[in-house]
Amino acid sequence: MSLESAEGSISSTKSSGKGWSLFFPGIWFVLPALLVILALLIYPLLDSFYLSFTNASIVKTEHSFIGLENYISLFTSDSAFRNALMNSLLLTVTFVPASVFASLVLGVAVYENMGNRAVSFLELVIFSPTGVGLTFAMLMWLWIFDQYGWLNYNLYTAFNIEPLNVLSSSASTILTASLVTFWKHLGFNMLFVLAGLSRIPRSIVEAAVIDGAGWWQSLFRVILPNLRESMAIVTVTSIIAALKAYEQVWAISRGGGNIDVLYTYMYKTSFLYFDLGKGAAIAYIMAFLILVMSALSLLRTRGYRG
Amino acid sequence: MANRGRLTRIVSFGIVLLVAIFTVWPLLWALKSSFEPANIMYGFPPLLFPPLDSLTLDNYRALFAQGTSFPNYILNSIVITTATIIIALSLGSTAAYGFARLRIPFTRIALALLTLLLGLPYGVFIIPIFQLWFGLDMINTYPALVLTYVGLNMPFVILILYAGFLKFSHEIEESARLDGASHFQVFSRIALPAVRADFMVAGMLVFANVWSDILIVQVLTNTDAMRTLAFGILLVREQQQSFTYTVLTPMIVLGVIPIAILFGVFRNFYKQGALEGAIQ
Repeated sequence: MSLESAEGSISSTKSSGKGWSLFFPGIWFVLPALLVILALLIYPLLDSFYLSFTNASIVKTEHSFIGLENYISLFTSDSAFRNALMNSLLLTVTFVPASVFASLVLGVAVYENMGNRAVSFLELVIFSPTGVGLTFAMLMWLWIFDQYGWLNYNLYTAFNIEPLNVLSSSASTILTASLVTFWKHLGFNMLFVLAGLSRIPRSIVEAAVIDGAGWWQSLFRVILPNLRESMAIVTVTSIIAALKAYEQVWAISRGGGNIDVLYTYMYKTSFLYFDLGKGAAIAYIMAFLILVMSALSLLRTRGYRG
Repeated sequence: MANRGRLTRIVSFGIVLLVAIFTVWPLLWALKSSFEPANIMYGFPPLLFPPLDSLTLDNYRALFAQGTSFPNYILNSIVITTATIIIALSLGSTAAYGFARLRIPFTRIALALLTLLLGLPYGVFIIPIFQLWFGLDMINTYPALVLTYVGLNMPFVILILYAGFLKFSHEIEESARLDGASHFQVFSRIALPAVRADFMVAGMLVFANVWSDILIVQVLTNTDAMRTLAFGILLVREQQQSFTYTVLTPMIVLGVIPIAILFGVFRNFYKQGALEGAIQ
């Protein structure tokens, strides 16, 4: 109460007595959302952290504190976890660079055709998968790659390539998941590049042309350096998307190809093997990886600028 | 120089065209297949252009036949998604308005925290959320699913709308206040219409998130009657012994095409709205 009135009096001195009248309705505007966030995000976030140091289980009512044991056993004696971690990293190192490079090329290509009606339409087409669910997306691509499908038939008849079975090995399965993730995010990532390009003043580009710079020179000297921030955002959102990959892998896993990434292994550990403590530890390892990799990519661009 | 410019334009147009074909290919392929009877869909050789008179709506009719779970799945998806959009946008827009206009203490910290929450996977929340609803005996209920989705979608709804409200000057709102309008009237009649583009963006993202989620459905439901389309399609695939895609493709089409069209059509909102905020 004393804190609230102190806040109120500070703001009221700032703006001629409006402090109180603005403060209270403000609380009513924010409170419902705040309660939901506290109950369903903040409390679960903290409780998960605590649970990751316990042996909590769905089938037991009691649990005890076991320190770092969940984390230690994951890294020392759990080969399924190591597999899942490697698969997540494989997905990340294939998807992120491809996504960054392709969205850059695509963004510049669209930029070069600015004002072209056909390109504006194609842009809408490229953006359309943004909202598409990854379960559906995965099944669509599996149908494209189906052994009896048109693609494999023609690869065989035209080039004598044996029918692809993308689910035949864990690497090719993860690469398929990577492709589907790439397909879904390309249009969205392109928007960040376009937003970055639209911020580069035309005058700088024109000055470079007057100075005799060719297309490649102005690309490397003028355009790319100005896109650093956009590329950092694309990198971070892509890293997050890769480490959060779930539906696209579950859609395969469910089909019998028993393969996991971090997130699906987290689900299985918690809700199929009932080990909530270990599941919470995996979730925190994922969150840690996401935060560290995001922070690193952001710091890198800051460093360049400074 | 002029020639060079034209070459660049042709090459870059080619790139855009190729990417567009890559993007639309699986969508059109699923759409085409969904109208084919099994003997054409799995026929030999497979056809790029099936004869027009062989196309049929039978695959769609079969989804609604006696004893199938599909009507349940799609009904659940529609009910849960609609309820989540309405509640998340109501709570999120009032909160965003409060943060943007009404001098809430610790606003900066709250927004930084929301940004952090935005990047985290649902996995770090889901175990206590499960325990919460299990403890309340609310597994397999709409309210548990809807409230959970509302919570998980709250951070970005607030952040998008907060950025939206900040874009507009609040002079009109203040003069309306002086004319005796209440805070809520100013919010609903002046501020909200001004941010309708951001409102659309937030709504579409909630729609896409909830419509395609499977994790929350897996954790908070365990009966076929409560499953949604995104998860149900995986169950159907398991049960289907042969000609799987005669059943799957119409489900994919119904699960995907409306969202793809919606995002394509309203793409421009993104350019003006959310992304500017994100980059700042």
